[in-house]
Amino acid sequence: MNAPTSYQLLEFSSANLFGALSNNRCDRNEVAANPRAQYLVRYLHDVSAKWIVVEKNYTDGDYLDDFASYYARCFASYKSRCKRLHFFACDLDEKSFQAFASGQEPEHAIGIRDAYLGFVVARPLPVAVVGRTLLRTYDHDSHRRYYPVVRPYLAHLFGATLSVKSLPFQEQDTVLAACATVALWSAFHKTAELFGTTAPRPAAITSAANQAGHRGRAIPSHGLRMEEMCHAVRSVGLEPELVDWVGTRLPLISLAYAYLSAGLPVILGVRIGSDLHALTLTGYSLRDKVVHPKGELPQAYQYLPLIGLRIDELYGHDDQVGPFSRLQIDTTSNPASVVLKSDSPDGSQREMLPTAALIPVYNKIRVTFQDVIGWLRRLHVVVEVTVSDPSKTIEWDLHLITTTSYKEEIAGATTLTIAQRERLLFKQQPRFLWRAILRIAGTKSLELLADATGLGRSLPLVDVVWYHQKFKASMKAVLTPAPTQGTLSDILTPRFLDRLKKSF
Amino acid sequence: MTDPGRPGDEAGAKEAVPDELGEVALPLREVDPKKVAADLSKQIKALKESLQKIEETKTVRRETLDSEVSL
Repeated sequence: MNAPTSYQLLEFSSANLFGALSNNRCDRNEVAANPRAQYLVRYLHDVSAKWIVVEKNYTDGDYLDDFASYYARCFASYKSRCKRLHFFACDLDEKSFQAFASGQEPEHAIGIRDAYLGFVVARPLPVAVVGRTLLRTYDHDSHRRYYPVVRPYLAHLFGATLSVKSLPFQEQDTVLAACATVALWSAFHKTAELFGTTAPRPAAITSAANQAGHRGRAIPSHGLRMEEMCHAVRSVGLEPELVDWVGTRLPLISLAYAYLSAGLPVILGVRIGSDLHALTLTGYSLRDKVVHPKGELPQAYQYLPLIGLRIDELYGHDDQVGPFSRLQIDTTSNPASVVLKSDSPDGSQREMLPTAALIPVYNKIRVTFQDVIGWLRRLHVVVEVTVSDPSKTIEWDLHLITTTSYKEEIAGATTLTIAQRERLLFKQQPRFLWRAILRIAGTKSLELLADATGLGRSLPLVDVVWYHQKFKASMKAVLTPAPTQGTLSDILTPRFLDRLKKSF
Repeated sequence: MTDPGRPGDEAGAKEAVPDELGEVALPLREVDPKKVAADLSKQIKALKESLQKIEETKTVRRETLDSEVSL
């Protein structure tokens, strides 16, 4: 069997990866000095990569768009085609791969398909060689790591169809895309799946963003203002939910979780030294116990004990680091801000201070995280009087969810009676819901559903589900006696009080 | 008393011990209506302050909109 010249099979090693990423304008030593390439070596090693299949002549749509927009009109002659590097966590040899790629051994194919880790497009550029990258995430590590912001992708490799659940990453070329454009580009891939919107290529995103009035020349692009990023979000038919973090007292971790949990990407603006940077959050690490005992917010201020108290890491596509890179959350070292610590290839840690979060949302998601937090803060006052040691035992888990996802979950929920399930499943609900789960000592006790498409200031509550009968009885004993009605109306508002009483 | 599939529920699942009614015992207080009324009244000032602070977080400053993300 003669090995075709259209691919090359390489055992996974840093030298082979750097060599495969290199081109005639960027040799393997230059690639080896690239922090993104160094990150990929570590990442691929961690996910057990064993072999690389180099697809030598690959037409990548994203690069081709960049090429047509910029590189084709340079004096130097840049190539329009790329290489694509596929990674496998199984042993491969010429014979087995060639049989697999030509469909000759279907029984052997399942093992190779299952071992597929994804691909990296190697761009034929002098810098920023790491092009569109789709790699499998780390495993869940005993249900600690969650990556909700991924989607399935197919990769056609000769005669084989491979699949990987991921979100696209690439490093910035600072010509057509700087970090802000790359962060939006990654985010739009996921929102395209969620809302049926478009996922434009980097050049188109930069161009759309600049319609907001760029100061200075648009191309080469060295960055975008936050307002321009908002404009780019509107250009794909979504609304920019922008949250300012500087000087505010908003629980960053719980807010990120609330949107990430529904699969919505959160674009985080961070300050590194005196510069601003953007990255796209894709997941989080949720621990069994509280990891921020002094609270999520600096200066020990806390509205509510939220689920963010158990989140110790966020994961994000950071174009200065790599895909699914880890951000350790430090709530104690800086009295003025949460600090996110990211690992640098040289082993040091880079500190980032969050400044803003931009969430591209469907236009019907109008009620915000802060709107719902306000209502929960009211109810929390009442819950506190029914629970012993409330600061240590209560947790509010607030997140956005679609009615479809909610009903899928409820249909399989053994903790509800058949009557409760039927009531929820047959009831018409808004497409988007804010769901607040109250856990007491780790036990789900109450769930509130709010209409995310409604009005934040008017009570958006659509359902109350009691999961614990003794807690329900305890809350009834607090909420119904006549002498407390005036105080409770002040705390909850008359409508909220009435709605809760009707749920008993 | 946990549902499968929800990220936050594993913590409770590991420690949950159901009682004779099939419910996990929660650390609930005895509800004394007179004491409850007094406890609730004390919280109103702190609640109003919190709600005011939550409202303040809804404002996006011009400085943030103008900041250039460029690193």
